[in-house]
Amino acid sequence: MDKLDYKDFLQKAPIGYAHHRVIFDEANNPIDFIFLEANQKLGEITGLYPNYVIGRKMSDISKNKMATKFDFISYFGNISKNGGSADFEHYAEVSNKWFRVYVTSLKYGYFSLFVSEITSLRDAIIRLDKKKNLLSVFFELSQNLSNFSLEDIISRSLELAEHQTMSTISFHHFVGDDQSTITKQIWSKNTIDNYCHITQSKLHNNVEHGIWGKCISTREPLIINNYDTYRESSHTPSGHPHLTRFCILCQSSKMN
Amino acid sequence: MPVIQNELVVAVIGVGNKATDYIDEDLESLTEISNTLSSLILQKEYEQKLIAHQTIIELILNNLNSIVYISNIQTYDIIFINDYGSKVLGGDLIGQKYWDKIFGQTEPCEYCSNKYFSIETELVHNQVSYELFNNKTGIWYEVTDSPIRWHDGHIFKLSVIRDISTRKESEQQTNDLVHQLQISNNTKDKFFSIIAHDLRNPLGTFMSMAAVLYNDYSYFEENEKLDFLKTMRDSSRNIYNLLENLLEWSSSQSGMIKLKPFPSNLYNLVKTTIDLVTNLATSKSISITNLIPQKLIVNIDPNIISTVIRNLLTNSIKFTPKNGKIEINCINDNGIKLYISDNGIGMDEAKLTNLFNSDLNASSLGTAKEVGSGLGLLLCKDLIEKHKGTISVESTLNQGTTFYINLPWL
Repeated sequence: MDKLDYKDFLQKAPIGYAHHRVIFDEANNPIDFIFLEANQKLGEITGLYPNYVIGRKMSDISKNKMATKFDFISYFGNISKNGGSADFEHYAEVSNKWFRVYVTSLKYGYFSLFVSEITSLRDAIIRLDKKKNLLSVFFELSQNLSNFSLEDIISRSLELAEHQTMSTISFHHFVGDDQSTITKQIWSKNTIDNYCHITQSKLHNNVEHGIWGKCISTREPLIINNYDTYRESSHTPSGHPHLTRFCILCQSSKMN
Repeated sequence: MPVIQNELVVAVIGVGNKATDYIDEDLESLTEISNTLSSLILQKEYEQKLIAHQTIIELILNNLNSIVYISNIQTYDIIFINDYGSKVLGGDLIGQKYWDKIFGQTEPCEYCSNKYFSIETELVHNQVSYELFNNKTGIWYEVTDSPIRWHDGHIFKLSVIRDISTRKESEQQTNDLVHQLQISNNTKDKFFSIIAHDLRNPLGTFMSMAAVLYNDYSYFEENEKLDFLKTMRDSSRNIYNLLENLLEWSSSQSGMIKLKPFPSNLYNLVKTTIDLVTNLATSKSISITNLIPQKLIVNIDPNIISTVIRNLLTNSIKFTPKNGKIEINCINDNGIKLYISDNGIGMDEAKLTNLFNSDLNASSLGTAKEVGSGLGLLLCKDLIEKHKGTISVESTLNQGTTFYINLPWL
């Protein structure tokens, strides 16, 4: 393949590509770099389209498109000085995307980037890890059911729910056959230790007084992300965890 | 309005205070956890119910006053036994052969019910019950064996062994009581028979004779009057003897006669008794010889033994022809063995067999047509048994009879 073919290949590659020249100060420290080449795919996944970035300095672009705490100039500049290559994963807060970045320098003062978006892959891995964690906990519980009390099982499940949903409080309340009385209330250890200071005597015993009243009456799951607005129709006793948002659902059983 | 009509809400589960807004993905995670948790809670509830159920069954089994065990009908191995069974029989019995550890046998019992239960699937008999005396524990048991299907599908045997010693004792007491009632009834019948027949006849004779003699006294010759008086004397003697025996027998039957042994000279006792029947013997020219050693002292109840000897002597006199002989002697035979023998008419086998049977014993006329009630020998048997002894008889027809009285050392 001759040189023109390579250029064409890089322009049409299914991953983002860019080639840069590093600008050094008098002490030979990298202080900026200029985009020399970029392909269309880079623009599609990062917003850095060739017609926008080619010929421009990184310092100019980052003011608008790449607001990040990561010091790209030093990192890439040093690779262009010392040669070699590196790869890493990077989260771009501006676009809320994850990228896998491969950087290599074949000539002093120059470096090339190959970028692919891995947001969905990372999400899948996170979901997989969560699933694995969930299965692991429930497998342990089901295999050793006799060794755990009912409270232990619920408490472990609540911890799991907190972890899976990145929540800080969780609860499980049994509802009586009259569908209006709470017969047993269990909170996660984290909730009790850090958030809930309510005394047993002041616990809700009637579904009408809790945030779960609507959920029980409709049998529908409920997500509230603006609790300050919702608070007007709910009454929480003194010592109840301060709520900002919550997600609840019912556990049902067939009637005899 | 509830969305799901036929379901009850059993619990609510919730999470809160995530740093960012909750999204559907969070709800999916919570739903997944909630579903699995519901399943675990159900399993836990079943487990708790199962444990409670099992506890109740164990409580019942272990508090039954019966041995309850389950065995393999092929190997005879015990695979379960309740606490009561372990306590009564002792030791760890699981895996042991039940015919050894429970029934004290050296091999499977003849009456083993395993043959009634199919090894694999079909239950031939639903239940087999029997009673047995356990040589190992010395207790009567009622055993109920039932085939049960074990969790692996095979048929095992559930056995319940109940101690029925009390019931058996009660049954024995009832049987004894029935036997005593039968004897008592026979006694009553005998008593009435004697009164109706044996006492009525001689008393009737006596009354008739007395009436004839009184009404027609002047018409009879002196020798005829003497004959009348002789007959009246014999009748009154019979009545007296009969009444005396009746009273003795009645006392014996009602338990009024108590054994009161003390050292007695047997020779003197026999001699005194012989004196009581001397007139009777003399009337038939029968000799009675006392061969008892004169200085023999034995621990006996003299009243009881005297009554027995008097009756046996009277019996011998009755069935011994004129000029006959009666001898009384004794030997030492693990106690004192007293015997009274005569050379009278003896008895055949049939008479001998039923001699002491109150149902079948009927009186026979003596060699001089003497009458009797048949009560004497029954009285003798009763009294000797009260004296913890035995009475027996040997007899040869037309040669004579010997009564033996065995009295243990008291």
